[in-house]
Amino acid sequence: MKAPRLSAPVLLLTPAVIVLAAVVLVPLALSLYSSFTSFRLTRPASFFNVIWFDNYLSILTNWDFWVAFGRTVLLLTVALNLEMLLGLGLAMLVERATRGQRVLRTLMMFPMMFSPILVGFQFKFMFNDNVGVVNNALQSLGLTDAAIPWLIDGTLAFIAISIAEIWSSTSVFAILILAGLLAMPKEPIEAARVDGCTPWQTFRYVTWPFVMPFAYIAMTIRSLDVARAYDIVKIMTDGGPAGRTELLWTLVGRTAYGDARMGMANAMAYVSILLSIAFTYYFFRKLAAARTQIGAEW
Amino acid sequence: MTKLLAGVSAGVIVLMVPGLAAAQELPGKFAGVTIEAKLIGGQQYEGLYNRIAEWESATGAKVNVVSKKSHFELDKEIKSDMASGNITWCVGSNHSSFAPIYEGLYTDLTPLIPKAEIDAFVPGNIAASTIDGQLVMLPRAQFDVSALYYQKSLYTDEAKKKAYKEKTGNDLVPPDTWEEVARQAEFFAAPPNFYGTQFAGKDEGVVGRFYEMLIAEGGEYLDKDGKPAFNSEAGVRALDWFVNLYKAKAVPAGTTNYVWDDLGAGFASGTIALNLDWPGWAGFFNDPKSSKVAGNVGVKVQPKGSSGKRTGWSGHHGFSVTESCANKEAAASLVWWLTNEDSQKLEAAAGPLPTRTAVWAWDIEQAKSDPYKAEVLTAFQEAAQHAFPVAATPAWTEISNQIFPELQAAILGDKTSKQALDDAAAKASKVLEEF
Repeated sequence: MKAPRLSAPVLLLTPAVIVLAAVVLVPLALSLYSSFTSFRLTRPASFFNVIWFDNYLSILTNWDFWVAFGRTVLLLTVALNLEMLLGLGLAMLVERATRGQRVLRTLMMFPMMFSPILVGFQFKFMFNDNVGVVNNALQSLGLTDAAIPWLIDGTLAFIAISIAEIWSSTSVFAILILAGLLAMPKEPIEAARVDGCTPWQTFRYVTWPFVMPFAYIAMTIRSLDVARAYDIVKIMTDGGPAGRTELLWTLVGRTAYGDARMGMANAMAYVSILLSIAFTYYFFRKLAAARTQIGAEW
Repeated sequence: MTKLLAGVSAGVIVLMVPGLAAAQELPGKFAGVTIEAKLIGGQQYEGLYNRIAEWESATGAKVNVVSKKSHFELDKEIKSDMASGNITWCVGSNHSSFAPIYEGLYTDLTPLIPKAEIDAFVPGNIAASTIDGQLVMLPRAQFDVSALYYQKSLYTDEAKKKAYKEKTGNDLVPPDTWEEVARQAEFFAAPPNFYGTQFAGKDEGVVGRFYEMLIAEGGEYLDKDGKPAFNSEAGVRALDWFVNLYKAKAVPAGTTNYVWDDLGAGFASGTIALNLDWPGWAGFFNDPKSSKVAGNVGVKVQPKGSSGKRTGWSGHHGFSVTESCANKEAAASLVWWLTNEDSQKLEAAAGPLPTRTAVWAWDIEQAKSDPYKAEVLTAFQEAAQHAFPVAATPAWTEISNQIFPELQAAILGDKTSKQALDDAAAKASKVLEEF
């Protein structure tokens, strides 16, 4: 009897499937499973103690979790919108540059080259109430004579963290939107000009629809980034003081590694992922609509 | 006669016992023995390991360093070794703050090391290396405790002295109690340009500071049954010290977000009068390139709390021998070698504080030509005598993570001290129950 022979496509796909299973599916399945257990890192045996939906039920009534959830959504909204606006502005300015555009593009990407941990340290010191450059500048300019507690007051700390996020990632938007601007055919703009459109109308009805798909791609990427914001916040405030700047992933990180409650943390993480899925779904729909509008063929 | 003989032989046995206890001549001979070791890595720690080769040629044994990693990596590795029961190595780097976690892993060194050698260490360091009556490690010259740094010029300013005397009726001298620190801090503070003092305000930093203040106020962190006991009257007094300074704006408003780097930068900026801090900063504070207070830094032993006890949260590195080690004598000899006088001198010469009394004296003698360094070392030597480790619970880190947001809530005025401590105790109890 001959051994059954696998068809060529199956054979060729097998390595990829095995690698994917090893690095994605198995860990994913294990973490999903552990979210139904009382798994504590310090007690390996608890990995087998299945408690079904207890973790998820206690998340439903966990006020701290939902506050962190809400704060993350707010950060997403604020950071994405501002990054979009600033990135669009930057891209349009750079596109206008007739000389040194390459240098400008490289310069623009500088913030992306820093590790988020270092960005966190940098902004932590800038916003330090006593020795930080921000307060120092404000005091020297005579705008205030108080030491503004940037990283202590909940609202101010939110602003400080947003600024750090926006500083480090606006260039993602700028680069992608710039790509859109450069790829855009010039005829429609010339036609609009000939037809007597104002610059605003040209932008609103010609340029903007063309770059919109690029903006939505950037939005999708960044929404995933911000929804899992961790490193910058970890360094700047570590979710504190007294939980005033807690975001989803600082909470998950603390629960998992600080409190060693890995099962609970995984459950939180799965609930948090819903947020990312919702944003991704929303932006992809917008992207599809925008592409249809300009009749894109890609 | 029989009685006499019995008496004599008993006497002989008694005489022999110390001889037995000092079982080995150090470093001893261990030809053919191989000791596997897991050591802490990093520039600051590795200079010492050059001395391993000398031990090998003195004893004929071999050392195989199976792992050399940062403290946290090593900690993870050791924990997974413990979980899998796979302890095939003999010597491990240890730390006083983490030693309680490795319950049952390391052997008692008392029978393996001559008593005179153990007595040559600073008693506080030996106490901090002893868990449940077992000496689980020998301390190396990598010791940390905080002493009080201050700006000298504040105490020579005649106008300030006069004003302070008028305001409080006391002389303005570097403080010796925490109550005095608070009083002087409020007196010196002139926000937003100058503050009386500052403190670590998040993570383990604020918990450690609260913990030592609690001890200095006569309180207990955990009671004898291992239950949280810090929400006592002493606990409220300890926490109120932080709360009141914050309320009086005698500390920077951002202090609840500070950890060590922020605190170091703060004192070096010249905007802080008094600063309880670690020995590692001494050079930085007095270096004109990094510090605006260079040349103006005084250091003295950390102040006392209302119980008369000084603060003294401390930690030190050391080496331990595993319980499952096949050749404990050889392993203990290596541990002794890495912590003996010559080894400690080698490490202390690079800056870190020693843990042997004789090396302290040597270290201070070496610094004679540098008055600042001599002042620093003298202050820290005294500080070391009052040092104590973190509460001996394997759950220290987990408890700290639960407590610090509550301490912050009290300091920021979101909760009263009592309420915050009660909430913290409830959370800590839950952690301990589940531990």
